[in-house]
Amino acid sequence: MNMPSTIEKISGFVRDELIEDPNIELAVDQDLLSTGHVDSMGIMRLITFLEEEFSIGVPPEDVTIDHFVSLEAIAGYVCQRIGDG
Amino acid sequence: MDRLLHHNLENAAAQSPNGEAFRCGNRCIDYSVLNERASRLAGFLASHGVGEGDLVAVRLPPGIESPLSVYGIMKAGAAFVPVDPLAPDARLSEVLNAGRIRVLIADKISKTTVDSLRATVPSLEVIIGPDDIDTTSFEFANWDSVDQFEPIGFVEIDSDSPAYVIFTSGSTGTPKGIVHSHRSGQAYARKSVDTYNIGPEDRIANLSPLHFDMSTFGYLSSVLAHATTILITPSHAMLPASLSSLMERERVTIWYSVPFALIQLLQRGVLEQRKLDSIRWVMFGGEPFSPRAINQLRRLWPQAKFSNVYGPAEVNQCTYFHVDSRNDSPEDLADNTSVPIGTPWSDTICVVVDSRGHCVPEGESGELLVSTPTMMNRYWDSTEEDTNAFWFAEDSGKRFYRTGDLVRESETGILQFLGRKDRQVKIRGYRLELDEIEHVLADHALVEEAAVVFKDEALVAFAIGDVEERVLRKHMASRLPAYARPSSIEVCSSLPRTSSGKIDRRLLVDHSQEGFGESIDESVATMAPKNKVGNGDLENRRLTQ
Repeated sequence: MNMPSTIEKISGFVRDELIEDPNIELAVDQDLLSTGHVDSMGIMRLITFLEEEFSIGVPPEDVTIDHFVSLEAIAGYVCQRIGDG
Repeated sequence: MDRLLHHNLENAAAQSPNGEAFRCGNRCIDYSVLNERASRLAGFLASHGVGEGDLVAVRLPPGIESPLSVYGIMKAGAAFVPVDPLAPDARLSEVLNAGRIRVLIADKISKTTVDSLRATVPSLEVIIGPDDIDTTSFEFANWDSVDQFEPIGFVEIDSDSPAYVIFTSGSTGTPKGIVHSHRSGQAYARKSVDTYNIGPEDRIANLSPLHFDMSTFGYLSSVLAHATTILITPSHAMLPASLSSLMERERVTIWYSVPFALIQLLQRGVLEQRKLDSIRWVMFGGEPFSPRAINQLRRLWPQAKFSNVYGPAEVNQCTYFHVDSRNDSPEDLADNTSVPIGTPWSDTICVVVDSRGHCVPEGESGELLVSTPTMMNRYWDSTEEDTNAFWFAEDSGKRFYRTGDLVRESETGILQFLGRKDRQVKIRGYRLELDEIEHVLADHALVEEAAVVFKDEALVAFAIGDVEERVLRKHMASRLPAYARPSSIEVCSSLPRTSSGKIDRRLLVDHSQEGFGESIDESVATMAPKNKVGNGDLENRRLTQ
C-alpha cells in the first residue's frame, strides 16, 4: 500500500462520510481538526474505518493530534502501522 | 479590594511581570506584556469612541488574543461579549444586533460571514483581526496596528458597570444577555481564588470556550491569583490522548470542566500512561457526573481533591461540594447516589421554596433561590418578564435569583440537585422529573451517559454504552413504576452536544423520531452522533483495553 492510494482512500471517506460533501477540496496537509471538518465523533468513525479498511489496530494512545491532524498525517500513520504489522 | 477586574491584571503585571499569564499551544504571554498590549487595545477602542456601557464582541478560538481582548475591552471601560466562533452567521448577527455592537474582534472570518454582517448588522463599524479578512465596508485593524496605539490612561468607571455580557439562546430563541458587572465578576474571582487556594504557582487548564460562563474561572480568577491559564484548543479536547499528554507536559494543577471532558479522558486519554501527579484540584459542573467515573479518577489521581461546582451563569458559582469533605476513602462514594451540589459558599444565602414561594420543610424538594454577591446585575435590555427571574425577600428586601433548579436539602444542610423545574412533566396525571429518570438509567453499570426527553406525551431515552436495550428495560422496570419508564430506549454511540459540551436535549427532542443521527446541525453539535451500536462497542472496547 503506497501513500497516494492510502491518502485517496482516507480522503474519500472523510469527504463522503464525515464532511458529507464529496466536492469539497481538501489539501493533504490541511488541518482537519481546528477547521471543524472532523469532530470527536468523526474521529471515532474514522478509526473504525481505518481498522476495517486497512486491517490495522489503532490503540487509544495512538489517537493523537500528530497522527490525525491532516490526510497526510493519517495516511503516514496507517502506512507505519501496516509496516509494523 | 480592587474594584475593577482589569485592576487585577495591572496588579499582576506590577507584582509578577514575568509570570506566565496565558499559554496556548506554543504561544504564551506574560503578565507585563499582556497588560501592556491590553492597554494599547483599550487605547485603540477609546479612540473609536468605545467606553463605559458599550459592548464589544469577541469571536475567537482559544489563543493569546482572547485574554488580550477580554482585558483590553474592560480597560476601555466597556464590556466584552463572547460569541461562539463556530456558531452560524445568523446567530452572530443576532447577538451583535442585540448588543448594538460597533466593534468586533475576530479570528478568521469567511467572505460569506463578512457579507452577512454587512447585510444584517447596521451598527457594526470596526473589525479587529488577522490580515486576511476581506472587509471592504468596515474599518479594519490588524493586531500589529492595534499594538501601535498609545496605551490608555486610567478610566474611571462604576463597579456596577457591565464587565461582560453572555448571551444565551433564551427560551424564545432570541438572545438573552446575562450582564455581569465588575462587582459581581470580582466577587466571583475573589471567592473562587479563596475557595480553591489558587496562587501564582497554579497552572489552570481551561477547556471552556469564552462564550461558556465556566471560562470566567480561567480568565478572571486566574489573573487575580497571578496564576497561569493553559487554554485548551478544540483539537486537544477532541483527542484525549493528546490532551492528557499536554496536561502532563504543562504540569496542570487545577482542572475545571463539564463532566463530558473527564469522561472522554477516562475512556480514551490513556491516563494510566501519564504522570499527572501535579493535579491537585479537579472541579466539575454544569451537569451531573456519575460517581462511578469520579471514583475511577480518584484512584488515578489520589493526590487530588474533587469538587462538584454548581451555579447558573446568572450567579457564577454559588455552591460547592468537596467530595473529600465527606469521605476519606474513594470507595465510599456510592455508585447509586448522585454527587450533591453541596453547600453555599460565603456571603451566599440559599432558600428552597414551593410553587407559591413559601419555604419548604427540610427534606422536601423545591426550587432553589440564591442571593449572592456573585449574581448578575440584570439581563441586557431586560423586559418585564426578565424581572421575574428575581424574587425579593419581604423582610430584608434582599434580591434572590430564581434558579429554576429543583433541590432538596438534607438534615446536614447539604443540597442535592434533583433536576430542572422545566424538566418536570406530567404523564397520566403523575408528575415526573426527567432528570431523575435519566439518573436511574445512568445508574446501570454499563451505561456511560444517558438522556431522557419528553416527546409527544411519551418518555424517550438515550443511553451510551455497550449494552442491549432489553437489559436496560429490565433495569428501569426494577427501579421505576410503569408510568415512569421510557417508552423507548435507544442505545447509541454518542449524544449531540451544545458547544459547551453539555448534552443537547433540545436537539434530542427535535430528532428523536427520525433517529437523531443523520441530520443534526453540525454547527451546534460538537459531536455528530451515529445511530449505531457498533461505534458504542468501539468506545467500550477502548475503555477496557
